[in-house]
Amino acid sequence: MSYEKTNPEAVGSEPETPRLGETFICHFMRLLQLARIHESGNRLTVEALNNFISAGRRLLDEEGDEITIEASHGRFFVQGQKLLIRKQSAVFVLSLLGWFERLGLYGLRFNAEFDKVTNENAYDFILDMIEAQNQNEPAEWLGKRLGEERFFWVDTIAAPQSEAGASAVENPELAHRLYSFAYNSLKSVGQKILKGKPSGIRKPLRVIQDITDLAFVNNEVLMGIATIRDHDDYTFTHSVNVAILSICLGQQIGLSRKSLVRLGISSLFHDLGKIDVPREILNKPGPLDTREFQEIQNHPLNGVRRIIKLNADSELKARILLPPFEHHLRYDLSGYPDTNWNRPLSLFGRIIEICDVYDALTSARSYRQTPLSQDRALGIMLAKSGKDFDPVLLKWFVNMLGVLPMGTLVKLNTGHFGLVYSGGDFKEDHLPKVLVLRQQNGRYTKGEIIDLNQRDAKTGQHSYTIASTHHPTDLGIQPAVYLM
Amino acid sequence: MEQQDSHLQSATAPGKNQVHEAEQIVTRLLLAAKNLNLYPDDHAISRRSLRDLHEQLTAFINRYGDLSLEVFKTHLEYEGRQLLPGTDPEQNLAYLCYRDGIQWLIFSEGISATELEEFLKIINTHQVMEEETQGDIVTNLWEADLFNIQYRTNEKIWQNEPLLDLSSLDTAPRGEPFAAATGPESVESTSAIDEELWRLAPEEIEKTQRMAAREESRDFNEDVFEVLLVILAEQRAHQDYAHLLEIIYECFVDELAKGDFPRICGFLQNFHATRRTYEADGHWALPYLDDFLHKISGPHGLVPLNTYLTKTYTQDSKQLEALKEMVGLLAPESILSIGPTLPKVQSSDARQAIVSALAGLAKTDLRPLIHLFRNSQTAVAAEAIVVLSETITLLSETRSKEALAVLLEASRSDADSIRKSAVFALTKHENAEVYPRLIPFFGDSNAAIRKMAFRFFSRQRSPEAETALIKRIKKNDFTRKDAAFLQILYQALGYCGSREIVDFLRNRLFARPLRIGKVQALHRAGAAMALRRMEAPEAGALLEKASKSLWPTIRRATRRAKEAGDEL
Ligand SMILES: [Fe+2]
Ligand SMILES: [Fe+2]
Repeated sequence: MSYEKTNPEAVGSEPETPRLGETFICHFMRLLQLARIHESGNRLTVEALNNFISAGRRLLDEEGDEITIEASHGRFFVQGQKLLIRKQSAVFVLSLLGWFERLGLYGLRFNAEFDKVTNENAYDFILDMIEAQNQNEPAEWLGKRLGEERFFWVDTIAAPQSEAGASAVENPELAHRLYSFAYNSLKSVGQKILKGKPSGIRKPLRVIQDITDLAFVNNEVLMGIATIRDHDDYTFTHSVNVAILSICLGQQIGLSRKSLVRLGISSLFHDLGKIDVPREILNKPGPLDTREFQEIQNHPLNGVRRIIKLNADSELKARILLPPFEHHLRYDLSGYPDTNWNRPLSLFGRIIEICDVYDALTSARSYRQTPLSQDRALGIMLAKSGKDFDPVLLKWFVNMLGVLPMGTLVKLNTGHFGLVYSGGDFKEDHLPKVLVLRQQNGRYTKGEIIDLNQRDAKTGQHSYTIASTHHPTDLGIQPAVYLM
Repeated sequence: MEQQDSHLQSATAPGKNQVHEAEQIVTRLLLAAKNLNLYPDDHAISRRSLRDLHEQLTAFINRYGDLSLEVFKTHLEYEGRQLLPGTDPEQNLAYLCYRDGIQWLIFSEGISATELEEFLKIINTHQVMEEETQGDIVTNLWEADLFNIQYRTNEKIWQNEPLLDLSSLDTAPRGEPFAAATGPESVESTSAIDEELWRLAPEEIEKTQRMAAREESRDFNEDVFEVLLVILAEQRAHQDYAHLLEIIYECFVDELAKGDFPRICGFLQNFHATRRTYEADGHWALPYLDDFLHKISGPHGLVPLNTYLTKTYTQDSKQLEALKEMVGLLAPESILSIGPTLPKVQSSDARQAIVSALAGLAKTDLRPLIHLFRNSQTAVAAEAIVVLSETITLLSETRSKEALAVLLEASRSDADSIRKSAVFALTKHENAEVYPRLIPFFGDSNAAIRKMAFRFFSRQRSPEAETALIKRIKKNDFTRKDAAFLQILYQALGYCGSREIVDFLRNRLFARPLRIGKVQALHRAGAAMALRRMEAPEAGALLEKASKSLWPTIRRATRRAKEAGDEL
């Protein structure tokens, strides 16, 4: 699946397919509307059926063996290409998108047999689309119906699962934009607080809602962008990373979208209390003295104080203040702040704690200049499972990232460096894909993507193996630059 | 190519009517929004405009399909046609949506009036965009997740936001690049991580599902109560206090509305513990805590509790116990907030719980209760007396005097219900001072009150009660109209009197008929009744003797007494 990478608004010379695809979508929607009102024999319906079928055939003529329509993050992709929303067609395109969304339908595939479709076949299909609305699990129901023999020419496309090894380069620009907006909005909240000005949370909320939407579409691209590291302004990138990872983990364990937003906001603000810690202490290279350590340990409670003063309803603030308080308490409550707290950590507190420690371990800090490679960080965390971390949630986390998480720097048996491109582990057939880094004039550039599961035809041995794992910092690179 | 476009054209070009109808819908949309703003939700006008809008929109969708509106700064467009040109942009739906970055609004088939109402309320909430706020039309629509009102946004609100330049970020402190790649940690990797450590077992997946499901119904007030108390316990900055307590206050009110009394009890106990520490330390923040306590005890804070009490019928003993404990942890002025609800409390168990709790509070400070009594309508004043009655049992002797004075004040009330409460309260307190005060109620206009007073004396075997009764009888200020009253006095004396009174009764029973008038005959009858009520053998013997008296009037009085039933 190749997604359009050009600027969607640059409509200078339009390629053929988008136009044909647009026409097909319009006739599809028109047919849906008419079929709801009229019988199959109605003149308008017949006309719409003819248009639908002929538009499909033309598309097949141009594109070969199948037509795919996928709805992803509020847009249609026809034949893998993002469909522009133009004035002339917007009504139909958006309506059909609405249909797909309501049905929970990710996509439809019309195969080469579409050539043989009769008006009756097509009308039956449309009726099932309509009927699906009344089902409990519309997409599933439709999938089953389309599995019947009479629908030999069409079937549904399931949403890509991030663990299915899907490419990491879906929606990368979107992920980058959302990351930037989250970063900016957090920074702006921080600046207002420091100046003693009131701060709302409109923008953080907007962006966390968008990230949540993206998490349902493409968890993997989010995990990729969360590899961004910034040593100088650590707290901001760290907080955004923790928010993204928390939302991804929450999405994996089945939290609702509203809960994910609460989790996201809570994690974005989990270190808000660090605003009160002097920068010299935060960035002190050596070990901290008792007073300095106390300053650091105050940040969870100060965070809650800062959250309380945000310009937002008390009800909303009440929903997000516990996890920031809890995030250093540890699963067994052996952490800080040292109060007589004896309630078990909340689910969100446990999620944020895991994502927080993972991001911290895999970042260069003033007190530990070389970060741990991602796989080693997970290993260290697993060793403290049940003590520092909720053992079950930690397992989910490792399963989500892979034992070899995306963005891990690996050295191959060939001597080349590469970045893990889609999470995997060290087991046969579960090996990750690796983006090889080419060195050019002292800089690294994207090389080819190799599948480590691939074997040499003659020897039957793996063509490439991992010699060692490292942290991208070792090469001074941002994995996100290469993965996106 | 041309053919496709003409297909497209024929499929999309809207008719004149269609555009006009879309305009009408937008007009109705604005009207409904305005009416929802002006009138209460259930007002006929707001209902009607909503219904009209819904009907017309549904008809439109049925005829032409989904209504998709493209948003511009000054207007909306439908299928490329500008709607309602020249409308005031300030009042424009288009402008509000544009401001928040909405590019498309799509109303689709199956839309309900409820969805429309919710949509319009969201629009209304954000008429004025405040500088620093918690959300906008988009965040609210996202939250509302309206099935048949879809929207698409552009990135207008991020217009001036720079994108993060990844290559400019330093991943590590400057000046030590690649060297670390051969450092010690790159030697080993986690290939050794045992799969057992991270493979999820089916029961773990189930456990996770349960955890996630529980999270969806989390009670956040508890979080607030507990976390903020931790913060309160070591709070330093004055200005934070107001914020903290404000949040706690709102959660308190919310929790009260849910009726989760045990949780509030837990919170209040912790709160008082903190308060006591502050008090002991002479902490500067003590007044803040006291203000808070007053606030949650005030009428506004307790609205949800009063609603609960009047609407909910509960017999659950745990809940009632918690209710009583919770009210007991409030400030005494909560008597003024809860008291007026007492006559309307649904469950008698809940009422009793509240009475006991308020009595406990009045023990600390009687003034609110007295204020409630003196400044309320009859029904509430009567309840105040009920509470006062229970309070007296908790007070030391000196302090109970003040309470007693109020009871006596109440016993002189014109209102039956207040008098009744007061007499009942007085009868509960075996205090020598109250005996003479109670006797007048033998003659009360209200039968229930008469009975109450009589029963009280009948149960006593105390010299004080006896003395009070005899003293009253000896006053000799009776006329013939007082027959019934006098009867009750003698009967009460009979029930509570000791052997000492036999002589007194003998004199009254055997008084020479020649010497006495008609009123004296009443005394004779009374004395006979009193002897009949007495259990002492001397009384029986005396009656026996009287029944053989030469004087017919004595014999008649005795006979009547013997024949009388047990009731008054
Ligand atoms: Fe932290
Ligand atoms: Fe953190």
